[in-house]
Amino acid sequence: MSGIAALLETEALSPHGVCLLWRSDLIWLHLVSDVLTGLAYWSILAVLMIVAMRRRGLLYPWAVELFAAFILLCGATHFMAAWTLWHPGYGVQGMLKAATAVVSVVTAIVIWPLLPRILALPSVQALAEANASLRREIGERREAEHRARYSEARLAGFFEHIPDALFVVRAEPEGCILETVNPSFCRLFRAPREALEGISPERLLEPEAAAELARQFAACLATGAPRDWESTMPALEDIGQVTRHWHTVLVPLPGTEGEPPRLLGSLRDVTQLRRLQADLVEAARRATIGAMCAGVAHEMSQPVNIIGLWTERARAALEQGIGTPRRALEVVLDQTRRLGTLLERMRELARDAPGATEVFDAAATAAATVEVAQRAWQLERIEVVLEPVGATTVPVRGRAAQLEQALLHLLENARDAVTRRRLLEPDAPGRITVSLTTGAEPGSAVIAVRDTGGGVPAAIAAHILDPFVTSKDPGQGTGLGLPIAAGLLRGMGGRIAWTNWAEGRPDAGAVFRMTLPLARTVSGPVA
Amino acid sequence: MTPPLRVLMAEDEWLAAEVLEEGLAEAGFVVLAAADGQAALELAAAGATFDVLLTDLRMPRLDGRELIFRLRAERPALPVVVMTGFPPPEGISHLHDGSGPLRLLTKPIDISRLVAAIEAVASSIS
Repeated sequence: MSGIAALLETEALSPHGVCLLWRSDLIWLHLVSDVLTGLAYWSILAVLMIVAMRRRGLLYPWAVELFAAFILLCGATHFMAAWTLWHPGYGVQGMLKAATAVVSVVTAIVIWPLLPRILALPSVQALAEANASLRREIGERREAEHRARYSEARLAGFFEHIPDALFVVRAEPEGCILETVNPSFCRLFRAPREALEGISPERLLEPEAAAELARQFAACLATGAPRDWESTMPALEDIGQVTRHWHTVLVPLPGTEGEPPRLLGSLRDVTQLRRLQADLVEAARRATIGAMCAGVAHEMSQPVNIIGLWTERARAALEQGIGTPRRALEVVLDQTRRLGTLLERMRELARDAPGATEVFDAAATAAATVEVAQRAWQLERIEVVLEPVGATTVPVRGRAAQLEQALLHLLENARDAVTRRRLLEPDAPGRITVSLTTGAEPGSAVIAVRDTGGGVPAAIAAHILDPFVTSKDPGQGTGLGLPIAAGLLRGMGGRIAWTNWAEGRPDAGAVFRMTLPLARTVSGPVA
Repeated sequence: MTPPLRVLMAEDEWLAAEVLEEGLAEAGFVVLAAADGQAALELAAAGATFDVLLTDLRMPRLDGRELIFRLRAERPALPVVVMTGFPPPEGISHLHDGSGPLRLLTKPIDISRLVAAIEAVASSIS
């Protein structure tokens, strides 16, 4: 007989009740406890099975199955214990216990490694919080979406109603294509939207303008930076229409991955603006000419008057044979020279920046000019000081002679201011300080001339750079020095500014500053 | 015979003043020459007698307009002849209050015209 058959043999065995001497209290106690325990186990098992079946996607299904088997067997051992009260099936009971032992041990072993992973699972509270935050986020998204839709509607409103012609182009391999245009664009090109969207914008333009547009598209796409330029277009189709000026702006639109890049463009008709600007320039030119003519009349009347009077006198001398016309002729010649000087200054004023320019050292020019002034005014008790520049050279582009001339005009003005002040205050200080600095503004040099002449009178402060405005006594100044200096500076890309200095103090005066752009590289003459 | 007219002349350009003085003297006027407005005012204050003021407008120290106002303050009917290379844009009403005769001559000045103007302003009050 095999071992298992022997195990199942019950002939020689007596039921468990015998051991309990069939005492009814003990029998009942065991029976009820075992059956209840077994039922409880299987009830738990039933719950577990229902959960496992209803909740698909449990994290460790094999662990659940193992646990179910463990509970099933535990329950079964209790039912078996109840059974053996009357039937001595101890072999079956033993095998059941053995199976339970195996499953229990396996479950007990495998459940330990699972522990950290189970603990790592979010708790119900954490899940609830995560849920709430998700819900909040959804709300915010919806709100943002709503706002975006609103803002999109507003933008669309702008796009549709703005008087500028707006367009969006898409960069395709074969060139840019108009993707969207606004009604202003349609009006400008006199075509319905359907006829414009989808075509190349270059087809709307003259060949030259089209080439320019293609160049600008390419540059905008390559650099990703906005572009703007002005162009002049012959009138569109219509006869009798004037040439129009356009200001075009291109801006790259934020791109989406995998989509061709897009540009937003706007076209604005600036014809009217340009015409107004031209009118304004012309008006200013005429006003300047008017002011100049008045000034010229003023300055020339004196010598012309003297020439007239002395010529008349010379004629009388000749006619009457008394006296000699020689002195009269000398006066006439002298006054003619005075007129000549005035004309020369006016000619200088008329030419802003003729001839070739070169890079030269402004420091050397300033030093040379100051030296000339120092020598000339030594006897007038006027000290001309050049503040040390250091050993560096200051390269600027232009003509050294012109800078020298401009600086000399400023120095002469400073000298005249000091001299004039001394008419009233004989002991007023006579000091002219010239300084040269770089770097106050990036890429520029400043030559400043500071005097102790009392400063620019308030009455002419606003007009001091205009032609024929002078603070000097009649006959002393033409009012052309500063405008000439300013013109020379403009020709070199610079400018003149001034301010009064140390007002109320004994050394009060004016500071005139010439600002010049520094030349980047030292090179030869440029035409 | 009427005594010669006495002319107070303020002209800072001495080359012009020299010839004007000579020309006016030849025409029979007595000329009191002043180098500018201030000098003319000082002459008048010192008691110099004159019938007509002849003045330039732009002069150092004291200009012609101011000189006219100062002298007219004492003698409202003082006859005045103004010589200028640049007449004021506002017109001659800018130069005086109209209490006396005033003529304006623009430079270049012609002696015969000047003589006529001086005689005209002088006769209009006598």
